Amino acid sequence: MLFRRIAIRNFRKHLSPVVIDELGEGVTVIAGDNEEGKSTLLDAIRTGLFERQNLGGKAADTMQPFGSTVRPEVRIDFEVDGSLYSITKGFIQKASARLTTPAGTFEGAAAEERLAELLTFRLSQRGESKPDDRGILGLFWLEQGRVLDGLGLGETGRSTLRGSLEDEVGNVLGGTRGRKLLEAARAQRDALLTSTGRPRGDLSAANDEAEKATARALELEAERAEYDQEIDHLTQVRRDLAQISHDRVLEKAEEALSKAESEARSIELLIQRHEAAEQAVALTKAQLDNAADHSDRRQALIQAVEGRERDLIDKRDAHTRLSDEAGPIADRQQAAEIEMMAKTEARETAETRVVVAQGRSRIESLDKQIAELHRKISEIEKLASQRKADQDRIAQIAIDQRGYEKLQTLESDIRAAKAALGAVATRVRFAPIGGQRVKRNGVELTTGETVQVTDRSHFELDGFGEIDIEPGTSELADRRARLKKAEDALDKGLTAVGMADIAAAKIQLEQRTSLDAQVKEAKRLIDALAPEGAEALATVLGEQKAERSRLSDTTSALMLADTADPETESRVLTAAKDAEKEARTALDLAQKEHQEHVIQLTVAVTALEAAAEAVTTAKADLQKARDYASDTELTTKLESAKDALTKAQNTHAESTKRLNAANPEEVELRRERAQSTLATVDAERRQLREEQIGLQSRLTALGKNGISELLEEARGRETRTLARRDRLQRDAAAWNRLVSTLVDAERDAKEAFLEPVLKRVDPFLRLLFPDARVTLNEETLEITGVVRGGREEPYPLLSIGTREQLSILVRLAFAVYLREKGFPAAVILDDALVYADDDRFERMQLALRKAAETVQVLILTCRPRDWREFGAPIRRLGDGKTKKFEPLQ
Amino acid sequence: MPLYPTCSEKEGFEDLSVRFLHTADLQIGKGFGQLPSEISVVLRNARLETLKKIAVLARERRVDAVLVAGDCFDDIAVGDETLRRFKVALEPFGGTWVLLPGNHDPATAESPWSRLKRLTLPDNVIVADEPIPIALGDKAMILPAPLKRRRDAADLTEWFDTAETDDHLIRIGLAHGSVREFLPEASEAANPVAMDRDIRARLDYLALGDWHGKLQVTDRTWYAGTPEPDRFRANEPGYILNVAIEAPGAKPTIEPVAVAEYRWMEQTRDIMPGGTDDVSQGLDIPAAELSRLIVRLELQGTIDLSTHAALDEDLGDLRARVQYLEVDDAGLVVEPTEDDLDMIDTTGFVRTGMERLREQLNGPDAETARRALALLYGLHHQTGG
Repeated sequence: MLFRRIAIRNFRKHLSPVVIDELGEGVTVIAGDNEEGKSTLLDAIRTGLFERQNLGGKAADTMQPFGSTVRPEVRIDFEVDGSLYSITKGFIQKASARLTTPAGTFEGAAAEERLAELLTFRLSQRGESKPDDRGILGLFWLEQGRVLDGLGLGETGRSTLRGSLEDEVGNVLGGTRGRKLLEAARAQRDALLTSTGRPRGDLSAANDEAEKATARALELEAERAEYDQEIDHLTQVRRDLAQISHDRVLEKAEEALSKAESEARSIELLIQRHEAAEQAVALTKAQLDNAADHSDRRQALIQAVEGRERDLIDKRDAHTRLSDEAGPIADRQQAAEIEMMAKTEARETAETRVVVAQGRSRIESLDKQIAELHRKISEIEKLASQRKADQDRIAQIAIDQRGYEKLQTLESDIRAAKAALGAVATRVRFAPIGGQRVKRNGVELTTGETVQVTDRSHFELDGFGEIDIEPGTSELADRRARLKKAEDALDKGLTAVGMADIAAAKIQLEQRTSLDAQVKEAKRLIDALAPEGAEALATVLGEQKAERSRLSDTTSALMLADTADPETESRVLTAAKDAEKEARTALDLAQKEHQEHVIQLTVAVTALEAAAEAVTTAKADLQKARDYASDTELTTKLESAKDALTKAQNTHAESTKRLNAANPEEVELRRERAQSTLATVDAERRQLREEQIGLQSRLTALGKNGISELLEEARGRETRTLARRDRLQRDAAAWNRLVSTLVDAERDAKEAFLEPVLKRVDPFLRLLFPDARVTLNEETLEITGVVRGGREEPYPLLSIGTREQLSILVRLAFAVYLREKGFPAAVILDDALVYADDDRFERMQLALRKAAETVQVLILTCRPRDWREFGAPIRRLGDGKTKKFEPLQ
Repeated sequence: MPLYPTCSEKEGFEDLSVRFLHTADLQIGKGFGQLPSEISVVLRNARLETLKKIAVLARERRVDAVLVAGDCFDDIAVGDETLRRFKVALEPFGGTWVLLPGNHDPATAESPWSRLKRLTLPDNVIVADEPIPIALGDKAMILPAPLKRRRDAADLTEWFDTAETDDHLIRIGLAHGSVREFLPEASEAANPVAMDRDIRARLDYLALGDWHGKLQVTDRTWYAGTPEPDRFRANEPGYILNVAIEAPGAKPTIEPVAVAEYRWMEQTRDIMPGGTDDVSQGLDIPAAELSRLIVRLELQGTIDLSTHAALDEDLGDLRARVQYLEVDDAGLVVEPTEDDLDMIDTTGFVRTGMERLREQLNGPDAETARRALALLYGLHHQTGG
């Protein structure tokens, strides 16, 4: 749907016409100040579309401008699917409605019905239209404040939207009927299972019942088994009793006992006799033992005397032997002592020889060192003397390196002066013929040679005569004077050092250099021979001489001639020490032997004395015993005791033989067995009888209630309760399956049903709430909440701003969806975004712009500056007041 | 040979023939635990009522004796009350009762017999717990073969062959066990009875117990069967035999008399989709007799949910008419059809859910899914769908 033109006249505030025309696609902002009649315009549009022309009463009265009685009129031009429509309605006075369509013009009620059909709303049957009647247009009519209450789809709008959704995805929801079935199934399931799937209600009771029934059956089965066992037991008891009676077991046992007891009595007599014989043997044996004891003791005394005497002899022999050994042992000790002394002396001599040998060896070494020291000292003295002579000669040479260099400089000055003179001198060359000579100032010249003439010179030429030449240059005199000065300086220098010429000075200098080198070499040699100085050498020499003298005195005092070298002497000393040690060991052994012998001898003396004492005592004891009874008397007593014992033993053997023949053990065993059998059988019979009585009474008691009947009943009950439990379990599982299947199906259905709408909501939502997902009630299509970060926040708990923005975004999505589906949808916002902060406001504008790609969006605002940057045409309400109403003709 | 005391000769019974009722396997005290307790009580009492009925019949028919060929009691451990009620049930007939211990109630050291004796039995009631001949007046001699344990590998009737009786006496054997090579194999495991025992022991009649159906073995050997059926086995239970023997060596006359209180019936039914009408009609029982019927229906076939619901209705109806109805529907497969599902819902999530459950019918836990669908179907009807 596209509003093209909206015109009103005589409508409430607007007595004069207001016309908003040339409305285009996309967004149009209609701006008006407060009280300028923005909301009146909105009411007029609503009235023009939804209210019946013949609306009366209070609702109609409110259309009248205050204090006037006029005819309110509304004209709306719009397009649906590219076709132009126009509706004009006049109210109260001469009420009328006129709809022009591409298919013709409709008047009155027909116009209204046609319009309602076209724009999918419902005409109010009576009175003013209700929001519910306004269909989807109402949905997209966003008035200030109303948006917070949710979408408020109304039945018509909801039905349109649902119809559209069902067209797209089919009837996936089950409606009330489906929910009723699900609830009924859930109730059934919940009657049997808890939310965690545990049994409850009938199922729980059936479980308990089955458990109890099983337990009862088991209990009775055990009782029954016991009953059967008791019967078996009773059968056995009766059989055993019958057996005892039948086999005459008791009677036989009594007979056997009687017989065994009779036999036992005769054996008793034999046993008494046997015991008497045993006692007689014991008595005679004791008497014999007594006699034998006396005899043994006498023999012991005799043997004691003999033994002591033998011992005395032994002790005496031992003493004699030890006494004999004393002499040789003392000799051996003495010889060892002498040997020891000899060895000690030899060792001491060897020690002295080592000292002397070492002293002599040292003296030899000292002699060599002393000689060397002498040589060095002599050498040093010689070098020092030479050095002194050289130093003296150096002192006599006046020239030194510096003096010489100075002379060289003077000589160089002369050469320079000569050269300067030469440069201005007159050069003369003589070339005489035939070997004739030339003399200058009397001195012959070498012919052919150029002669420089710097002063007046007289030449004599053979064969010619004489010539005097006097050079006439003025510089000559100066240069001659300079030469003279230089020559004088050299002469002076030479004279100062006593040299005739510079060559002699050079020779003298070379001599001096050579002497310096000799002096230095002498110093280096002296240092090498005595690094610590000559005095130190002299000190060492003194010390060594003193040591030698001391050693010489010592060795001479020991008066030993012909000692070998120290090593040899040391080896002799070691051998002497070993020999001494050996002698010491031998001496120790000899001393030990001697000491031991002394002890042994002492012991032997004591033993000898004790043995003699023992012989005396033993003899006294024997005599005392013999005084009491003689040896013969004792022998007679012993013999008679032996005879008595032999007799008693014979009697005992006889009684033993008789007793054994009677076999008392067997008789006793038989008697015991008979007694035991009798007691056992009697006890068994008594026990069996008691058992029989006990079993009988137990069985009577057990049988009274009819275990078999109870058991069968219990088993039946167990079977039945188990079956019932199983059936209920199956039912519970089936109900559970049914409920879970239906719940899943319902959830899937809801998701599928809302999917087309939610798909459109998401892009809008992303503009403001990037991570959020809106949830809708699939029945009412109202917003139920938002899922953010996996958590659902119910719509009523959201902030006012969020609710407002969410509500608008979802409407925009719905509008886009319905527009896409061919429904006439247009969005009108009346100062709706009052709770948005700047950021949200801007984002909401983006959302509106997005929606405007599909549907027309009209924005009524009192704050046009908020929309200035939005880029949509802004129409001012005031501008509309200059235009004509132009009712439909 | 010591004899048990015999009952006194009855008045007005002058001839030499002997007439008696032959019954067995009363199994008084049988619990029927597998059935609901109210039914089991009824069936337990029914067995005593039938015994009373037999006693009355014996009195009315003026027979010489009633021979019970074993298993008077279901178990040796029946209660005292049961024993007393048993004793009372015998009272209508003052003639001779000969009661033989069988495999259910063998004469063990402690048994219903020893206990009955302690309760003091009337003189006309003879417990044949020893293999000793019992004189029936001066006309017949009864040779009993009591069981002293539940299972005996020996043929306890062997002694009949050598039992001496006067020539003028009719010889009647009384035993409990399986006739060799005659009964189904499973029944022959223990307590054997030779097939030709009647001939070898020169018996005029051999009264047998253990097999619960009425069954003739030879001219002279019969199983009476239980007088009151106790299981779903169609082998002619519910009779007693009225036996008349005119003289020693004469062929006995056997008259089966129906005495059962309840009838047990087991049927297998193929259920077709849409076809449940004959659930009760197929029983072919007059409506008046339905109340004495214990029925077990084994259902098989593959049906849709609507048939299943209708079947439940019909079975509910039948259950109200019979004494007891047991249904085994393990062989019945309920396959929901498109129509079934359409009836519940054609669109929406419920339909989706149903389709998902239907997909599970081929899966590992198909039974739960199947049941869930059936429950949904029922729910749909209950909630006014």
